[in-house]
Amino acid sequence: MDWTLTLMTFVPLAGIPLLWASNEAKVQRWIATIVSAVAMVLSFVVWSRFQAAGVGTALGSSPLKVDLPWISVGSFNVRYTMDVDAISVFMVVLTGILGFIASLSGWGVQKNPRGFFAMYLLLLTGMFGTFVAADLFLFYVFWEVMLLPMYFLIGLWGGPKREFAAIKFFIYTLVGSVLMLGAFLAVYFQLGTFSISEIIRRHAEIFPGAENENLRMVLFGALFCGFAIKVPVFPFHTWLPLAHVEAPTPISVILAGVLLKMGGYGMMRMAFPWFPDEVVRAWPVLATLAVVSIIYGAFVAMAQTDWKKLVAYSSVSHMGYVLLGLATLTPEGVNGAVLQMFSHGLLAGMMFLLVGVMYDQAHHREMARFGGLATTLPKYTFIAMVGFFGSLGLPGLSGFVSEMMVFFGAFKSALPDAKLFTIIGTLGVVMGAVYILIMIQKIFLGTAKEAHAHPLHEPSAREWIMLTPLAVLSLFLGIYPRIALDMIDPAIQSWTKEFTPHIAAHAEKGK
Amino acid sequence: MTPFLPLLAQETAKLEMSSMPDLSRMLPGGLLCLMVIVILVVDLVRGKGPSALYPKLSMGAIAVAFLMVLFGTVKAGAVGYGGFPSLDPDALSRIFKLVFLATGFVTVLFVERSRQAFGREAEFHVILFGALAGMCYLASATEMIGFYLAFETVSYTGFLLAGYKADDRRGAEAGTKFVMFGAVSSAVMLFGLSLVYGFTGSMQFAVIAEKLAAAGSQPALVLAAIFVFGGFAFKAAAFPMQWWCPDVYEGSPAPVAAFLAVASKAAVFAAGLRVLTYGGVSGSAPALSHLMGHDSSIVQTILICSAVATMTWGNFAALRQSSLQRMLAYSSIAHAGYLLMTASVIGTDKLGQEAMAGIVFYFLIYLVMNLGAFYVVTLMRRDAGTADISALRGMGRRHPVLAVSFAIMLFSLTGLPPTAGFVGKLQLFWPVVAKGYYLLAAVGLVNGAVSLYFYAKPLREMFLAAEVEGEETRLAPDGVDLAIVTAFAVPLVILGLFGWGNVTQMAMDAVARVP
Repeated sequence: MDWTLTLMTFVPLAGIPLLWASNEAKVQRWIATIVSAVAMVLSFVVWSRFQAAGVGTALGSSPLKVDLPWISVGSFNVRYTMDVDAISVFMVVLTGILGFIASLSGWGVQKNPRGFFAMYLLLLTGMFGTFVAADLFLFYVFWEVMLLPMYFLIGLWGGPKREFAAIKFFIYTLVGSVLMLGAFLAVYFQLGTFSISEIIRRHAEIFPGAENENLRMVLFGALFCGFAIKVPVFPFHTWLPLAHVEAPTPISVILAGVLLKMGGYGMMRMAFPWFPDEVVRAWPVLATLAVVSIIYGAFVAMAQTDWKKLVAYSSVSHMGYVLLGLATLTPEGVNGAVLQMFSHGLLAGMMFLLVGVMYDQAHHREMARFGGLATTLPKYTFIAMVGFFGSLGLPGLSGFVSEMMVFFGAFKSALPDAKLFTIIGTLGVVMGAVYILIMIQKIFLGTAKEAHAHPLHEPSAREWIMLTPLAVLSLFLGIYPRIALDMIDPAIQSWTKEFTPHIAAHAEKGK
Repeated sequence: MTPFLPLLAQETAKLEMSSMPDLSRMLPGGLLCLMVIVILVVDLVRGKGPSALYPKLSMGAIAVAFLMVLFGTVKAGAVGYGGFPSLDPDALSRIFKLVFLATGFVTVLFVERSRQAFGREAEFHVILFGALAGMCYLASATEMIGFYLAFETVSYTGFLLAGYKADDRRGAEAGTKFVMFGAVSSAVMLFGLSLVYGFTGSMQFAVIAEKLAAAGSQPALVLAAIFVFGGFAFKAAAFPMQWWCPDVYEGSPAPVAAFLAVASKAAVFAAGLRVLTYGGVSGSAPALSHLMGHDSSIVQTILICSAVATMTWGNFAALRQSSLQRMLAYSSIAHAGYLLMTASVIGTDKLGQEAMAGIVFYFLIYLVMNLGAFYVVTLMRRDAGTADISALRGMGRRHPVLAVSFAIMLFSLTGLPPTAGFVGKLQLFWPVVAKGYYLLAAVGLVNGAVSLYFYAKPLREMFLAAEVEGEETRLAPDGVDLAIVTAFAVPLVILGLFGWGNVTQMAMDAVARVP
């Protein structure tokens, strides 16, 4: 029995009462940041211990596993099971880093900081828990636990349209979760276990036979929609721009950096491996949705005048790559998708921070009203360029590697029309360049459009502490992606291998 | 008319009842009936004027009855007078009796806390005890006459409670509407029961079950099933007999609405479960094949159609409400829909038993979360004089304990983890999914998501909406109020995380004793 995962998950929760230790906002900020830092360090501990155990360790057999009976009554056998494999470790580390950085960003919150940080730490527990839960019941509890603090964080500390944004986010996500819950119950009914790893191992027993083909497809569809809302995939994305724009900066960072990844994570962990045959059959739909997300997100981003909205829509576009990569079912594509999840976490988080830094000073986000920042704020411009060019897919930064891998994978894929989808998808890269460059031109180049009440200044020390690690990590992964790929590749190789017979069978049927 | 008496004699002989019924099995109904008389006598002796005596007396008596049921031994098997077995105080009826009595206790407490001058106080308590006695009998009735008498007792006392504040126009309207609908539905049900009697020649559920099992499907029985269901649907506030519910719940004093929403609904479900599964002494007959007709698919179809219509109607109508009390009325209709959904899969097999246990479990949870929510309404009407949701504005800042507790109840009503409402919903949906009714489960789940929208309205007012200067919330909860809401909220979280295994076991033990 190893308590590292439990400790990491519940440290933020345990930190909440500490916020009542002082009425000073400053002390409360420090407490929240220290608690988040401890959680981050623990996420590194999880990483190193997992590395030591061997990166190929499958879910359900790592030395970090905790498995205790929780509730056992009637047909219900719920266990407290936490475990990780390479993919969850990857996500846990991302959560740890962004959790710490966003807590620093939360220092800017003036209104009721104690309430803010209490909700924030609860959210952190929910996020860690979701990535390490290996029992469906536990997973669902953590998944929903994230909803409540998020509702309040957007609804109380958000922008002018915060109430609507919060309820829209809440309802979309809840519709997703009930679809998911329905599928979970059906799978549980078939296999009699909530253990995620066991379900993956015994996926062939989920409503077997040709007569249940449609039922399996419906269940896969329910799971896929549940996770697609979180990703979000077109046409389920409409909650995202609103929530991202209205949320306060730290919450936008968490939303884009971590919460969106849960959709992709859920697909990798549940929807896809449980229903491999359905994934292959649904490939044209999945690829279409992915490509539409990429192109549509980019087009809409291009049309924005609000800086934060542009960044928000860029997420729709970038998460489209994740779905495309996963749906190719090739090791390259899936590696690319997972790397893209991490890279987008870093870069989207960074972009929201960059927007937040300027918004705090200018109190508006209209791109047309900025201008000439490159001359007035050279240091800020430098760090901003790392973030924005990374997002654009500039070689040398992490976004490039992951997007290329997704396209390699898609091009190589044996699935029908994969090459066509790849070619259309690559147009997204071009359009990504367009909207990012237009934005850079409006904000950083030219001359200042208007005088601000307070002259804009360079980021503060705290803001540098937030931005620098993200830039460095993105650069590092862009130059030396092997450090990440070496870790996730073995898990992904065995993950994709499961699909090979289904692809072959499908191709056979097609002929 | 001729076959009635000989048949009665036959059955008497068959069931070999002892000539002296075991009176201990008649508890706690006996005590409750006694209280009706006691309070009337006290009222006569004391004369007019309000008194603090009645609530204390009532709460004391209900508490005693509760403890008697809780610690009394369960002796399953029908008992009755004159060789006419009409009651089966088994484990299933026991757990429902606990629900009624707990709700009754809480109702008296709420009335007391509402500090509302009800006028004619003694009579209120008399009626309440009448209602409780009726419910306790209804939960264990095993033959038609007893069942119908108990059913009507619960109805009439409900009419009186709903229209109790006759000087209040809306109260009077509520009472009148209730009576109108009640009269029609009970006539309809009585007609259905008479068809069943005409067909089987028996009043005993156990005998009817055997006869129907042998009879096969008949058009007359389909009609009977629909009519009998009509009566049940009225009391459960299920489609198509739910129309009275919002007006009555809104027009009644909040504690009375709470009582009707929880105890009354529990009573009719208790009776429904028995009607659907009471297989007589042998217990060999399959479920759903008894009172309502042999072809179980008819009963099932009725239940499923009504469930879908009820939950959808309740949830969508609730979306537009601005009064919390009215919203809770619609929400209680929606919850009846979820319960009916699960009722459509009950039976004597393992899954059917789990479905029954799920319903029982849900009532235990529903009791806590719904009564807690109605207490907030009681406070609103007491302090702000309105049940409008906007009266909650700014509560999060001014009365955080109350606001957070209420938020927990709302989350639980929505069915979000980690509250007990989630595990309750899980146990309602699980048998439906396991039975393979995916579409039905999907409709229910989507309904659950819709319900979030209106449950979030009070949340928004309490926490998000900006306070208008000079219009701060007028709610002024004192220490006792806060203790009460906390006492309702905390168990929801504890049960949601740790305790639900034990409570589920309790529910399963209860349904296991149904023959």
